[in-house]
Amino acid sequence: MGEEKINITLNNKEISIKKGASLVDLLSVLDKKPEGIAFAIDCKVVKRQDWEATKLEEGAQITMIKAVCGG
Amino acid sequence: MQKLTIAGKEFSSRLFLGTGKFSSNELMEKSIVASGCEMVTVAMKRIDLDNKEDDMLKHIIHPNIQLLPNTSGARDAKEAIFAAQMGREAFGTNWLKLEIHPDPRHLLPDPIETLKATEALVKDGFIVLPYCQADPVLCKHLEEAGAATVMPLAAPIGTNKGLRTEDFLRLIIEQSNVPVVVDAGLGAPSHAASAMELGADAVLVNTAIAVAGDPVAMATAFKGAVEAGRIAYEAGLGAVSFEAVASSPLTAFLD
Repeated sequence: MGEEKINITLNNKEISIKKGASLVDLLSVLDKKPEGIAFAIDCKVVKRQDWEATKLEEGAQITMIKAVCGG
Repeated sequence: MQKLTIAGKEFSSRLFLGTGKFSSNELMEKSIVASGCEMVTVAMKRIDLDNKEDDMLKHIIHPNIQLLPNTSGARDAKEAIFAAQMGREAFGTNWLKLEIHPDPRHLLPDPIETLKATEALVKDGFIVLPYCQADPVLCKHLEEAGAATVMPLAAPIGTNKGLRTEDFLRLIIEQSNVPVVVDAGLGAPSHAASAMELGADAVLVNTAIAVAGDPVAMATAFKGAVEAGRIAYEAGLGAVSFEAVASSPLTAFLD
């Protein structure tokens, strides 16, 4: 029996991830470093120190941004 | 040259750089170094999972450089507040260039939403540097709302047109109790020098350097111009006269 998965929406794209995954796990699955990244869940910004404790739930709408150049 | 203090932090350089539009991150980094600047703006975008882009942050993270996340793309106060909070987490700083421009055709800042967002963000602990119209009335309101600086525009973003708002900038500089940073539209080092001679505390330049034939050389030119303009302002410019005033003695020696 495989591990249980949930569906979440990341920047308007549906993906599945293991149940109980945190934002830190999401970063790891996406193979991204934490620098210059920010997350919001259902349009609410999640503080960096809360990433580990924030478990993703079925249907969560996640916004993930990164640093880019700009004036 | 006097140091510039914003929100209790001292800056030796009065040239701030935007990091957009450079043809490569390497060229951007070299231009930042050449400019001697200690404050650079950065932006954010939704991550594209299929795109492995170069990490721009490693090119600008430096102990002497204050990152200034912007809220570019925000069309109203609500979006700007969200962007500001995201920027605080992404970049680990509460410094913020607040910019709210609803219309991409002219990119002019929305004064009402900018004031509303400034009030809210100051209460939330941000150091707010609002990009705004060169409007002395608005700038006074922003100052009273707790903005750390005001950043009135010289001309629309990216136009390189220079000090189109000079008469209003003079009024803003004269009345302001917070540093005045002339932002947007400065297209040549001479424009930056003029702004500094007027008494601006700093200038923010991006396009004019990033799209120059040689951005590193142009960054050097802007550095010199900003310093020259500021030193001239501090030295006290001579008065303008409508009649000639002789620089040599006119006592007759041929009579």
